[in-house]
Amino acid sequence: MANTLRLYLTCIRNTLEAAMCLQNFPCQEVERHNKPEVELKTSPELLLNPVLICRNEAEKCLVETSINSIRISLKVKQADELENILAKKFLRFLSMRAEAFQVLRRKPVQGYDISFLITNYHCEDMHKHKLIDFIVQFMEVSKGLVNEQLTARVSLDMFVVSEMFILRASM
Amino acid sequence: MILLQSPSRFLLQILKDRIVSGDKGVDIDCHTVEFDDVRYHVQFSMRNPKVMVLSVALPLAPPEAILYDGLPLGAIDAIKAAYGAVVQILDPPKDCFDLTMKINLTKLPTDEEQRNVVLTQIASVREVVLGAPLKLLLRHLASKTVAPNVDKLVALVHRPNESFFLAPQADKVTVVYPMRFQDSIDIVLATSFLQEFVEARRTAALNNAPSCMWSPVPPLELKGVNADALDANAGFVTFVVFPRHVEGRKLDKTVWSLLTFHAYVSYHVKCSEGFMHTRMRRRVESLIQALDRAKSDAEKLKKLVHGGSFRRLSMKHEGNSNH
Amino acid sequence: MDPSERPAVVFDNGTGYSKLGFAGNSEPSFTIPTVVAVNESFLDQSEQCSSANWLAQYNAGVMADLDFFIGDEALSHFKSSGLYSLRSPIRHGQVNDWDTMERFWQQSIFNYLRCNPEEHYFLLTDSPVSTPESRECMGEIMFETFNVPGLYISVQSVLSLSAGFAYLKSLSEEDSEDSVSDMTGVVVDIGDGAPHIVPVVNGYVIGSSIKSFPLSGSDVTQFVMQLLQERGELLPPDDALDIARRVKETYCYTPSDIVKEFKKHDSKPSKYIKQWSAIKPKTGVPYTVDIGYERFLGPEIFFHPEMYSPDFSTPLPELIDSCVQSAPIDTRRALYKNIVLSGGTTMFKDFHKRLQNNIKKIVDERVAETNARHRVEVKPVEVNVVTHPIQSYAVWFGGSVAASSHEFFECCHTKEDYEEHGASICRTSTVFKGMY
Repeated sequence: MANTLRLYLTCIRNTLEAAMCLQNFPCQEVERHNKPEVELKTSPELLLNPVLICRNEAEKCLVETSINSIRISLKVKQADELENILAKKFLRFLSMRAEAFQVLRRKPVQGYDISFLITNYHCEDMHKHKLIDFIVQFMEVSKGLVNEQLTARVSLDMFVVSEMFILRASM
Repeated sequence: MILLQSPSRFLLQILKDRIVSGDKGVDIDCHTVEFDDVRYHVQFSMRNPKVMVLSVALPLAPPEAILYDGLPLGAIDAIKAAYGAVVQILDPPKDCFDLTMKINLTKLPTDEEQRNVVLTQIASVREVVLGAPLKLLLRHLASKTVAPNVDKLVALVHRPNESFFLAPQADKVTVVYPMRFQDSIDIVLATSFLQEFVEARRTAALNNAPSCMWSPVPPLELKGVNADALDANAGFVTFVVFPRHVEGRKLDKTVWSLLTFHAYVSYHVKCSEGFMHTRMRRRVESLIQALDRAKSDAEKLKKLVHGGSFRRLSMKHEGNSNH
Repeated sequence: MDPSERPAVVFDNGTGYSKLGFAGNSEPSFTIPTVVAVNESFLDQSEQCSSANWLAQYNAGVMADLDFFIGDEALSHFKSSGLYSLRSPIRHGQVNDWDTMERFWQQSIFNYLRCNPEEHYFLLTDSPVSTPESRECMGEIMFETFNVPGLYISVQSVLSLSAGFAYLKSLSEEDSEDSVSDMTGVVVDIGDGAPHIVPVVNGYVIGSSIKSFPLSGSDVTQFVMQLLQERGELLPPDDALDIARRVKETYCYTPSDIVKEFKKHDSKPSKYIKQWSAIKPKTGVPYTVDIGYERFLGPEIFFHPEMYSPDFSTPLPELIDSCVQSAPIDTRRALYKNIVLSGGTTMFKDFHKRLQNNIKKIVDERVAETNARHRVEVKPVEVNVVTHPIQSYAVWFGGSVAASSHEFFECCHTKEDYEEHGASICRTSTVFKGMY
């Protein structure tokens, strides 16, 4: 299981390293405007082919690039109901804090759970490889958080709480 | 606080304050609502500063739970037994309430410890009234008999328009709860919680505890019950209570635990949602720090020089406001 | 039963004290200090060693996440056992530690009020200078963790104003003053946290004219403690702050003129000097403390802040005056007529009289100057500082009144809105928008 995760993440990392070559490009249609072209999708000459990386049917990653911006959308799958709900909660939590994250998009792209939007300005501010590190780390963390931390912790908490209840009845 | 406490904190506080404040009285007229729609109305008048009029409203009873005069079976007797001369029941109860009592604070025992015990008992009026039929049945269990004129299946109200079921027999009482929750996340969390309950019971050290089972469909004991009462989106929990669980002082504790089981589960579901938030916030903090590290040093220097940085939604915001 | 048929829950969380209760009551059910005592020994462990951590907790029979107390219990547990550390989630009127605030709310709802949050609408209060982000966080916690059906976050100043208005209305049925009928006034809110002077016109807060005063109730306590210690009174160091606070609440008053007060104290010491006797907690030895000049010097820092803090020298009456002067010119007379006090620290004896006299002096001087310069006779400005016995929990009372009206349930942000649009619906507050 971990093996495929490693491969998946490495593949994403390689794709990002290739795709993240962004430069400043003022808007062609409106004077003095500078918009992320990947969001507008009006001029086909500014867009590259989108790349879809699938780990399995339910987990995939879509990387869309343009001349001045790149959009990364992730879809995560969880084992059971509980993990599903916790993942959704966590992602909604993150979306609310999108401002603090700068590269996070407030609403995920249709059909996906979470999206990042990286523009050339971000690339100028931050080191490119560190940014890619961050994205990959983010994916690892979210998966790890939901699987180990939240679910396991919740189960353990409830186990102890149930014990207390039953103990009281028997003492 | 892990376990729900029986006495109402608010009632206890008002009673204690009144004892301490001596003879000078102030008019008090306030109401409070507790979980599961139990309402209290407290009144003190200037004319009788040592007499408290307490009205209690109980949750709306579903059709299968039978009430006698608006109160559960045996409630009046239980009140008289628990409070004695201190409390006088007023008939009819106040408008919109099910029970009105006059509590005479001058009739309390003078010894402070005994007095506190009685005050705590008064503040636990909910347990006394709502738990009366349950106590009756379990007392019979302790004496290994079956209460006379009791049906095979008894429905007792514990939440508005919802009841739980008891199947009393001479050697054991089976208690079944249909568990219902409103919020979809709550349903999932509660279901996993209840499954943990069963796991916890299986642990060897707890052989003394009542046995516990969970099933998504109504168990056999509930055959013949109205379908509305059986609609449960988080499954059915069954406890089997034996005489050793209700002997002596354990009776009161067991009554309260069984009465507030649903509230207990619901409370802990909310607690765990709260703690998930804590952990999520911590994780978000560390991710933002990771992002910070990605910033180039030139940018950081620029920010330091200009002193500008936008607000971060962080957990610990020291010195945020400069007043 | 529909949640709107049940009384709403009103929470007024302040820096020092939180007032909790149900709408429709005339006073809060609980007034507890806003502190949380947390068991530090198992908390804050890094998540790497979580399983070992868990085993340790399990063996100790404790569940660290749920092992915390709030309010007075927190203070007593903190004093009696070394395991707990105190945390204050609110500093200077604003929440800066959301985890602790969430815990505080959790215990208030489930342990103190013992209500089911899913069945009640909630009214929370917020400082007039708080950020939209903090309101968003509040909304997120309330809707996500507690599943409340509806939430309204209101500004503390407007509630104080409506409390004063409701109280006066209940007293005087005959009086139909125009000044009281519309919600216009200056709210001087001095509690334990950051005191603010907020002008409110017709129910809307004039955000640009809000002035803040750096000295609050806790500073008065500090000052009293300093004076006592400087004079050589023996105070046990652990309790010094606590004793100073109780001295402040019991014996302090506002003089009309400090020079005269000094003379009064010196001429008749037996009448003015009070004794405070208590027992040292550690040794059990009783002791007494003399309380003299502190009685009036404490509240005096509001009128002469340079006594306590060298950085700030504008007295409170001047600040109130400059606040009104910065408000639109057509509202100024109405604002002067209705200066409302709220907060525990304004309960000093004669505080309102002194404030009224000082402000009136400043205003009269200005009117006289205008008259002299322009040779006109301007109508004298009426200055009125309103006081009533429920000042210390005026905000809570205002909330209780507001939440009992039918319109309240329509103004709340509902859970459906939250699910649909996210937490950003809580950002705006209607009083700032100018729509009513």
